[in-house]
Amino acid sequence: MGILSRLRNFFRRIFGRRKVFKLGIYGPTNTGKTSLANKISMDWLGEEVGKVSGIPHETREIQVKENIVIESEDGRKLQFTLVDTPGIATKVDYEEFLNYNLNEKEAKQRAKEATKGIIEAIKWLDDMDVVLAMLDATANPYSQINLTILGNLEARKIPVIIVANKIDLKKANLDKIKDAFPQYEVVGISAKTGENIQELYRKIFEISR
Amino acid sequence: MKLEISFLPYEEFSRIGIDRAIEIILDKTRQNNLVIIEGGLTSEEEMNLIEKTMEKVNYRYKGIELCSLSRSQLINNDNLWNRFVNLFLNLLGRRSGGITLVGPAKIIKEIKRHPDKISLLIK
Repeated sequence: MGILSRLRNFFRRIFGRRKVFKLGIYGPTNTGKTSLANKISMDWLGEEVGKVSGIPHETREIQVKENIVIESEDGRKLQFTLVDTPGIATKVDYEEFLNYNLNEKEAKQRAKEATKGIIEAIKWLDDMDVVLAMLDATANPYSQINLTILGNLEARKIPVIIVANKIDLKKANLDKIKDAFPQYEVVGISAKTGENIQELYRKIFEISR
Repeated sequence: MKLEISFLPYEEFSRIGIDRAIEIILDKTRQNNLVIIEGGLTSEEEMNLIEKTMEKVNYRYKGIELCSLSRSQLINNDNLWNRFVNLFLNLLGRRSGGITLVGPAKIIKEIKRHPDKISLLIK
């Protein structure tokens, strides 16, 4: 390590910003945001953040896990508050929930909660220090929601890692995601199986420096 | 079911401001209009629109379908002149010269973006 790097690290330890920040997980519905939040929380705290299911809008309110401390391979520690958010959508149709064995009353209630959750997620965006933008690696990356979320993060100058989830599935196409967003750091993972999660932790360390 | 097309010109958009524009856009989608916004919305305006849409969603109004195309996506950006104009507009803080389409989710299943066209999937 050169003398300049040593000096830089010395001053950073004395005067550098506290390494505690809010890490938000944002993205469209059913991309695995809560699955990833649960994976991170289980890995480092031994407890989950929220419930996961195949029904859209399962997460309908902001879920926060404080004091997550992750450790790098070389022993560095990073503390953050993890913020799991409801999926952003431009429409919510209660009739869709009827296909998942909910009755009409339950479906309408779920839809009402989902719209409130989306509003809350949008309001919380300003408070995020770093965001994991969750995409489904099996889906079209050029969806308007993806572009809107990324555009907002760019406008707010919030550092982003694009997380392409579900790489365990045959239809996953990580190269398509990387080609669509060459200006971003893209990490392919499976929140379900844990595949490549260590690479994501490495990227979180890098981006938070 | 009938889908009508409305056009919101850039001059009117600039005159009335984003909050009033969003009110008009959502009113028109509730009347089963597809609204074409000249100049397009910025990402922040799109998010503002989504937030306001969610405030209006209920059992009868399901929300919107949305698609924005920037100028560079609409025109051949291999042309040096077009690239210069795009850069100039961006430097001025002007809208990119693109368009945004906003339609009622009750009628429009999806607005899909392709390299050289937009397709609307109608229910």
